[in-house]
Amino acid sequence: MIALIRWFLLRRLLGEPRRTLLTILGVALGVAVVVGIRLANRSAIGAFAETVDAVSGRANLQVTSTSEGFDERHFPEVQELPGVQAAAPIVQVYVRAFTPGVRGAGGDPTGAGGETLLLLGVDPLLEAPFQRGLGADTSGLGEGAALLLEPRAAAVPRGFAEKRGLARGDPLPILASGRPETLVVRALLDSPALQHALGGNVVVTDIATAQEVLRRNGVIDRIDLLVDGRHRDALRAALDAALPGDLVVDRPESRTRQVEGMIEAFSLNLTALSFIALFVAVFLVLNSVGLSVLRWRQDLGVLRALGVTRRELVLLFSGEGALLGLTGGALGVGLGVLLARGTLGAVSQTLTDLYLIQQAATVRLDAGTALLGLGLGLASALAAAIGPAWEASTTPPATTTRQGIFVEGAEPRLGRWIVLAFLLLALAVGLSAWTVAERRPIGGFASAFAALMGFAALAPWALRTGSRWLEGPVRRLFGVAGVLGARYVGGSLVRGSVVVAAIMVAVGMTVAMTIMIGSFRGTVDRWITQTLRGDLYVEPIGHRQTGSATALPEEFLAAVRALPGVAAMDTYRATPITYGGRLAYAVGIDFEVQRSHGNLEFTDVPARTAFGDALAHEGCIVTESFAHRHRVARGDTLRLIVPAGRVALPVTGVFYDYSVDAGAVLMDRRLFARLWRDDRTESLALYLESGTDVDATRRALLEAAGPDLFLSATPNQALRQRVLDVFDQTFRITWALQGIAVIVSVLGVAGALTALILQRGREIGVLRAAGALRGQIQAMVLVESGLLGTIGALLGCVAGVALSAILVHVINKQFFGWTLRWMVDPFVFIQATALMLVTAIAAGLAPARAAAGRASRDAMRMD
Amino acid sequence: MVREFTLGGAVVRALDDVTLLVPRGQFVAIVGRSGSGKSTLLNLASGIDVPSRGEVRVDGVDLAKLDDDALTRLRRTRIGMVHQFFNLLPTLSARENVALPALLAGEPEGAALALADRLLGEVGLESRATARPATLSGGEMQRVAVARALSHRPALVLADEPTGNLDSQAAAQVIERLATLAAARGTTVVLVTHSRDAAAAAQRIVEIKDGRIVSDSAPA
Repeated sequence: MIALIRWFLLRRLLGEPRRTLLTILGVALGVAVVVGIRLANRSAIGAFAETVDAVSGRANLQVTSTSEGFDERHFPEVQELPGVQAAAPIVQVYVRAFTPGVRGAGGDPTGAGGETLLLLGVDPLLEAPFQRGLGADTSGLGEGAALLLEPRAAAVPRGFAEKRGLARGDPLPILASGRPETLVVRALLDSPALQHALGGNVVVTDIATAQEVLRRNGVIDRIDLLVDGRHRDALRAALDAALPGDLVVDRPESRTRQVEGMIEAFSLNLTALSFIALFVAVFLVLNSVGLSVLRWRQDLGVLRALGVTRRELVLLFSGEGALLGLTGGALGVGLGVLLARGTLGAVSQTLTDLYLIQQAATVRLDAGTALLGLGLGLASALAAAIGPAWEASTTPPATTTRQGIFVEGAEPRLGRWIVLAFLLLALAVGLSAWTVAERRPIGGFASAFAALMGFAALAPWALRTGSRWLEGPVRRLFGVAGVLGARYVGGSLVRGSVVVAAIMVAVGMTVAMTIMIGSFRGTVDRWITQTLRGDLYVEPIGHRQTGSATALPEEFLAAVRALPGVAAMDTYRATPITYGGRLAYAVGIDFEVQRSHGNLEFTDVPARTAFGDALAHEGCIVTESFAHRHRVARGDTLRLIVPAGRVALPVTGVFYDYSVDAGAVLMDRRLFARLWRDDRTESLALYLESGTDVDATRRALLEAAGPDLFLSATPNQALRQRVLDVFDQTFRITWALQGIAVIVSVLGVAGALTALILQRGREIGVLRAAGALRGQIQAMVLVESGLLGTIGALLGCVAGVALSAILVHVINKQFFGWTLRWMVDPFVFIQATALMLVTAIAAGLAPARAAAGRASRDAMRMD
Repeated sequence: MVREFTLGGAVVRALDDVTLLVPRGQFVAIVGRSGSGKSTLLNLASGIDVPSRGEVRVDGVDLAKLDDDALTRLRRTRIGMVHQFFNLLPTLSARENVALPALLAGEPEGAALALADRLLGEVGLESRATARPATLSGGEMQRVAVARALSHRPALVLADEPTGNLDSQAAAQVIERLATLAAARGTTVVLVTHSRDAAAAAQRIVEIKDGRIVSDSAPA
């Protein structure tokens, strides 16, 4: 068998380098997309986990709050609890670096780059057991740790200092809530762990220094604990009993799990999308191995006559698929790493923009992902090759050993395929209904897959019917060459259907994604235009890094309120919370201002009713995604554990929101301030009186802020544009993945057309012998490829509409809880059909040239 | 044996109540016009086609009792075939083509190739052993096919118009080599041919007309 494999399989693959390379490239691209997206996702979350590990040191238990920070007075209670071997209070906030006097892009007064830094406030005297790598000696109380006790002292990883050209004694300016603060580098750290945390952008200070620069006196973010692992659970229970309900005791890695949970929908959708190219690649392999069977059919007859069994033939052709799959898989893993490097920035940016997760990831290929890539290449190619391999094994030796007789695979029975198609489409509808009823998001993908397979099963019917319908027009355009082309297309149901199905998948997915993204963008645009009614939106520069640790000075807020032309000011305060075991946000805004000036759109009641009821009964409103995820509706009660204790908030309305899929609970700022014991303001929206000059107000506002408060004051239109820019950035990677799927399908079309020409070598020879000119043969082949492209694209458009409905109404709704308005722009059909027509004709050029160049004598001698 | 085909709804009887017994080691030529049923008879004998009625026995084995795999193994071990259009595998060299049946029968690659070299020597093609079929003449290709048909020491060689594509000199060479090698090995040969010259080399000539045996005699 080994000699057979070497003699037949390898020689066949090496003897047809074009087909082999096309197929390997197709599989490689399909695998690369899956590997690339998986690596980008894992690297991003891995980088986050690495940061968590680095800043946790040896801590094996942590006390955190369900809200933003907590009172440091809880620390002694924890420290003194029996069983606690070591405890350390930690302040951990992301801040923004800046370079005074240097303006960044767009005139950013905070300097170039706006790099994110992780500010870690520690108590040097309590650090030793945690071995976070502070100081020159790792015992903890070495030079570096001791130096932190100096005023404004900071320690940074050596790599960070080298990158920024910092030496001991150099100032290190940062922005905290928009205010510049200057630390002084006193020690350089050699800890490899800290060097990896946030790409080494870590600044360690004494805890008091961190509280001072952040203006969060008395507030800490975490208590790290070192406890005996054997008694950890008991100690955890004791801590839970001793501490207020809003403090949570958990292992350090639980934070990573929570973040994984929060981005699960995003990751899973991207992963599902990444499989499209691989799915298209399956058609490519199917075609390639089918082509191989076709080309070798006569030899198969000889082999069968010589005594090669069916099983051995199946093995030979499956082996071909396996070899193509493994080679493509290996190449795909390599390409996937490159792709991951290219897409990591986009994925990381999206995680930061949408989920406020700060990380600095680098791509690292792990053995699991490499094996997955190889396995996917192998499995997809084997799955695709098994059909043609079986077909090869059924080659009747009695006929193929006779010269001039060519046996194509059995013609598909149209009726059976149509019935199968309708069964699959009915299954897709059923799965969608089940998904919506049961709220099982994964059912949406199964539904989309069933729909795709259903439309693929319609390919033979579409090919037969389409070629008949289009015969008239091509006859008028191309004469006899057109008629022959149309007839051949209608008569090559086996190969033609595979091509049409591959094109259908590529076009269908492109149309579906275009409609889905268009619907999403249209919905978001309408939502922003409708709900963002403020004239100016103000936040400290660095707000996105500092998050809920940001606070605007009270005197500034008072000054803004007093500005001429300001009709109302809404304030914003948010904190992450855990609800139903998942991360969400609690937000305090001014309900009075929202009721009078805002325009939130509710799913259930008028806005005035929702706000009025909330104000009257100390209730809250929730985003649609929160309501969907936690099955909450108006009239329900939310039970939250907040710093003020346990509270029950009536839900007075559910409103449309597309900013964060984790979901948010909004309440009046006064209620929020009371429950969270926090009346600070992170950002604000100004509603101006009619006729007020927005620019003049903006200038006045920045003046009121003074030189030591860096603010971003964005007019309504600019904010709307910024939101749409973030949206477009988020979907850029989606388009890239789609593009790759289309490239794979083009490879498939090129390969399949070659197969079709090969299949008809004898007929072409007869035509040439009968006087057909080269141009006529070329026209005939190009008509064929054009018809295949057109029929595939038309079927793809229909499939795309159906798939887009599943994406918009089932998958998106169940994963993110967002209601999108399904908007279909007819231009997408014209675009997709024209693109595929051109692509198919381009793919047909080489086979057309080859067919026309074939001498009639040779063609008639072949087979 | 009876073999019927359905063509366009009509039943065509390709072989009509044919009984033919070929003793071990005999060289039989089957002659007749195109469409007389010669090739159908050969396909039935090789087990790549099955009779509508009746039975085919090769080396005492009733082919009807064998499944596809067993039939394939029978061809692999007991039958050698030579076709009009040579049916050499174009990607294999002459010696690899010859070695293939032995290899399929489980011989190690080295032994199969050594056997092929010897057989190629016997058909006068030792100098062309590494040539690909495309570079061989028609006569050379058919001699390679003969060597291949005999490479695994089959009990029966079925030759379907092996000289149909060759000039008279090449045809004579091929038939002479086939007859000599088969006789030396005690191999039964069933040769289907149009050619009276080729048939003359056989020990027995069977003529088929319209699916029936019309004569069965020794060459004149």
